[in-house]
Amino acid sequence: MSETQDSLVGKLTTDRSQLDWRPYVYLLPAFVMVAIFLAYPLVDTFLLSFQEVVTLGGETRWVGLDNYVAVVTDPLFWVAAKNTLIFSVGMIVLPLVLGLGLAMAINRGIEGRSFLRSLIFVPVVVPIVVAGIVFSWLLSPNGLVNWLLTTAGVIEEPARFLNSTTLSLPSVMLMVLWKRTGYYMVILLAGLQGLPDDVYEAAKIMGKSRWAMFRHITLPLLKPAILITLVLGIIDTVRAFAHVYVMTGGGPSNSSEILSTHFYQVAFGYFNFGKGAAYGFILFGMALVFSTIAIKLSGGTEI
Amino acid sequence: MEIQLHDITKRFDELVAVNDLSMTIRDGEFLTLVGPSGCGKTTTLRMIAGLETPTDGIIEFGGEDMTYASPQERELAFVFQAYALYPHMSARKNMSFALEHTDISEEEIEQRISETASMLGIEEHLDKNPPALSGGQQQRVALGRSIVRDPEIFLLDEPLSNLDAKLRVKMRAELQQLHREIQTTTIYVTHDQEEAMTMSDRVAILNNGDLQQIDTPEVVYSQPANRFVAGFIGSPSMNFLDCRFEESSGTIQTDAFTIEAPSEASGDITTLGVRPEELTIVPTRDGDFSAEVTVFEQIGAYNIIHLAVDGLDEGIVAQVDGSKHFDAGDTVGVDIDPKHVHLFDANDEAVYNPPLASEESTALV
Amino acid sequence: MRNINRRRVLKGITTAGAIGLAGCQSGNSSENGNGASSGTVQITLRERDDPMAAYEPGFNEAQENIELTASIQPPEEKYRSLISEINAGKAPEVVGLDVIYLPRFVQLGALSDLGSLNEDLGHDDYFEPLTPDFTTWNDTVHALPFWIDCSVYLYNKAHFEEAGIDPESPPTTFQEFLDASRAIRDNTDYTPLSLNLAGSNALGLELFFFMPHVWAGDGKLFNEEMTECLIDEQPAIDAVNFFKTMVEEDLCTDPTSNDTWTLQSFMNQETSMAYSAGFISHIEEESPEVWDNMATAMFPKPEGGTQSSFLGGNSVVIPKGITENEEKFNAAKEFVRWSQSEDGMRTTVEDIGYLPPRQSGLETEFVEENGHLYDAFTRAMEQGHAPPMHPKTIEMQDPLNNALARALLGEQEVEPALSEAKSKIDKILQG
Repeated sequence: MSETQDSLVGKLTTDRSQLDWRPYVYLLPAFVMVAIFLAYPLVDTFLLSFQEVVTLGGETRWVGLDNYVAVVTDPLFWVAAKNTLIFSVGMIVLPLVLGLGLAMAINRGIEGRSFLRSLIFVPVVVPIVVAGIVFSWLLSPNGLVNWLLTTAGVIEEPARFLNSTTLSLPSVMLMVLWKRTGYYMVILLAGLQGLPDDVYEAAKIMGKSRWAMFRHITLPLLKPAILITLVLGIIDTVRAFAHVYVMTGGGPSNSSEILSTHFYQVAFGYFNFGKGAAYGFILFGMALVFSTIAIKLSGGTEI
Repeated sequence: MEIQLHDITKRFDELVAVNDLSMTIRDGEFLTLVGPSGCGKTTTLRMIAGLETPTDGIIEFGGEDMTYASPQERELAFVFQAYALYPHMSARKNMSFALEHTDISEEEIEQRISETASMLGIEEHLDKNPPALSGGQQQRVALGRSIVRDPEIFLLDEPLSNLDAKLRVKMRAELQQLHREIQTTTIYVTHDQEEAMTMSDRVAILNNGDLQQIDTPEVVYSQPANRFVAGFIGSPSMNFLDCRFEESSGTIQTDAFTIEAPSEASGDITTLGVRPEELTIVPTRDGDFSAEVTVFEQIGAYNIIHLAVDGLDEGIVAQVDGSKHFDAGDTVGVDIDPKHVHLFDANDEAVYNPPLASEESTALV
Repeated sequence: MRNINRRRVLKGITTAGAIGLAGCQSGNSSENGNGASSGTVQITLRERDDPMAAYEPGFNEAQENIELTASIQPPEEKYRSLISEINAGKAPEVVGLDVIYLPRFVQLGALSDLGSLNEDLGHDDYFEPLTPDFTTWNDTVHALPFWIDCSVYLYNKAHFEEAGIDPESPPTTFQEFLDASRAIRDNTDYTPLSLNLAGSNALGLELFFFMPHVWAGDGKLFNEEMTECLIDEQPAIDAVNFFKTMVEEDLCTDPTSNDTWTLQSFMNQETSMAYSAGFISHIEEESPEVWDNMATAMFPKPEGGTQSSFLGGNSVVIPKGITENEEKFNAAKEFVRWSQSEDGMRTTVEDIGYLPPRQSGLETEFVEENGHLYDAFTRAMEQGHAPPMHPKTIEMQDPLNNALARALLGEQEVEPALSEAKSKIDKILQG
């Protein structure tokens, strides 16, 4: 009896000395927060995506993949997907190219660089909803842009930028370009400023052209920064909502409908909770897949 | 390729980085620019490279004015302090990148790289990227990148300063060996006088943008042109003592002792300079003066003692044989060989230097 | 600009937030559950616009035992949080439910049965178009009409005179309306009509402003059996053609514009007529001169048709979970009872500016004093139409809005546009 007790005590003591519980206690608050605010809703939504809500707060029905099928067989989903792809040019490609150009100009040390840098960054700070409304005014039939274009004689009649099936999406992209260029510029400028001068001097001494330096030195060395902007851009494109919603509401005739506005309509406009959850997971998967592809294609593993 | 600098001045706004510098670097020569930081040595090198343009003056390569030529036109190679390797390219690509899009054929490039790599002993590392290489290996790749271009002029900006002490000594020898093999005009910038002394055909000492002296290592050591050079070259540094020259008695008098002046001494002498290695420690009663040991530094091959002398405000430093040992508090005698002193006037210009060791030994024979 | 833009900002902000929180059904609790110690029962009314806060003092002064708190949330936020609250069993006791949502909420089993309450009340003077659509789905009464909004057009009598039109007999048919508009265009500097039908920011207007023109020709969005969309039939084609003529002859503002606050240009006297909701009392303050010269009329009809109006607004409902707490349920029913009373209706009309569900609500001094404005409203209440009732009506707005936009922008002929809408709506009905 006493022997058993002793060995038991001994065992407990050694166990305790081996398992230091303190780190887990320190981690607990963060873990609880993640569990409540991230893991629970994620799992809950995931489960919901395979169910149909029969009554609110009560009965649900398992429907397998029906919700997912419903999303991808919705013709509007594909319209929105195509528009999102076009929209991503305004969210990612154009501001990235423009932001890189501006970052390089500023990094080179042009006159009034700090003023210029602030000026280009201002749009980033403007809330998207405000920017959307301001651009709506600018682009409205009696707005500044139409006034300039008609006064200059470029067009005779004011153009309907926002309620035109051809111009509505480009109009939103214009606002997005204005807003995102500075964002990318700041990230890329930080990247550029981290590049040493001597690699450029070494290339200069080798007689490399400016283009060769850009192609073979700036771009590869800036890859981590570009990758960050790219991945942020992809995620933001999938999540972009107010951009379109405020300016065109996705119209006219769905011409500027993007995935997130369509998703919003399905999930919150039509109260299709299961389909909405499935839609949300499809968007989540898209952001994940495209970001991973971007990282893999660029050959980088770390951000 | 001979390089000539004529009255080169470089100003950055108010700051004069290089002041009216003239010098000639002979074809095939290994010249070191040495001086404390901010002396203008790197700026001078960058002007030779074409990375900076002189405010005034002319730079000639082989008699041709290159003052405003682009770095590319100068056909030179530059090794940077931090190597400036491209981290995203393999060592091989770092070396071939310089030659791509030139007339040189691919086979030629391949051949040059493998020759250079074997010369530098980095054949096995050619396919690694710089971050995967050690400091010394990166240094060799940086050198290799310059060598494959077969430049007319080699410029090196403190290339060893990022290496640890042991590797630095090793690379020093390798660089000398390399220079012997490729025989290219080389200008080497360092703040380390020991590197300058050990590697160069000639050393140019700069201070505050002014050229102090340019000559062989032996001359700048034995016959420094002024007090700055005397103090900068040699380690431990030369001892400087305020003194008077008594012309009538032919003696140099300090506050603590009097020694016989060299026969060539004359004029307005205010500073006596003695290198630590020229001081001889003798029994107390035999020396020119006696001193108390304050610090004893055990080096090994030789040792260093710091001495306090009655009547002198500052201590002096002596170098003694490695077999000799002292303790702090010991009193010793110090003997000064009057032939091996340096005398400076009020403007810190040298008025007397001992003869060169090489000439002395010839004389003895 | 003011109202709609403010709402647009809120919409943008709240919905942008919703994307981030998609699926996160946290749900903020309403102010219920703290049992009243002093014997008064506390209940909450969920509504969507600031003016509806007037129900709080109105009801609290009318009785003593119940304390009502009005909780106002803009539409998007309102339904999102309402759903999470019902899910979590923490719903407010009474809710003003946009009538168009009634079938969907019944379908989701979210509303309690108000059949016996309705019988108890026994009011027999409801405006006819409101029953059963505002109250009943699946043969069960789940709601009672609360405050009613209807669509009419406003016109400026001074402008009419200037254009040579008799202000006392506003146009009633498509043809008369076109002629009047042309007269205004030709004889004055005003744009004849402020109109927005199909702005993509304004889902809902295609029902609110367009459908009455279809109903006027005896058309429908879908058939009785709710199996087939009828929007490709002649009444709808005629209605679109009427608007198309308005657009083509420059007789109206851009009906597909994203600027939905068309009333502004009417209040600025830039336009002579405006399609409007029944909520107009604010014009008195914002533009007194227009208010004094203004009259209302029902939308025009095709030759031989009957003028119509869209009767929208809110029904009052009690979420299902409330029945479990008898005290709260009774208090909630008390509020519903009051909302149908003369006193409650007076609050709706005079304090808030909407229309009452029962005839007797319009038989007041106030309405009589403002007879020139209420005449059209009264007629609208009598011969208007409740919204097309279906759990998926909301989903049908988008194809209809799109068809109208394409037709009015001239990007598609009227008939193919409408038949495209029909086939999409058919799928929704059958899906």
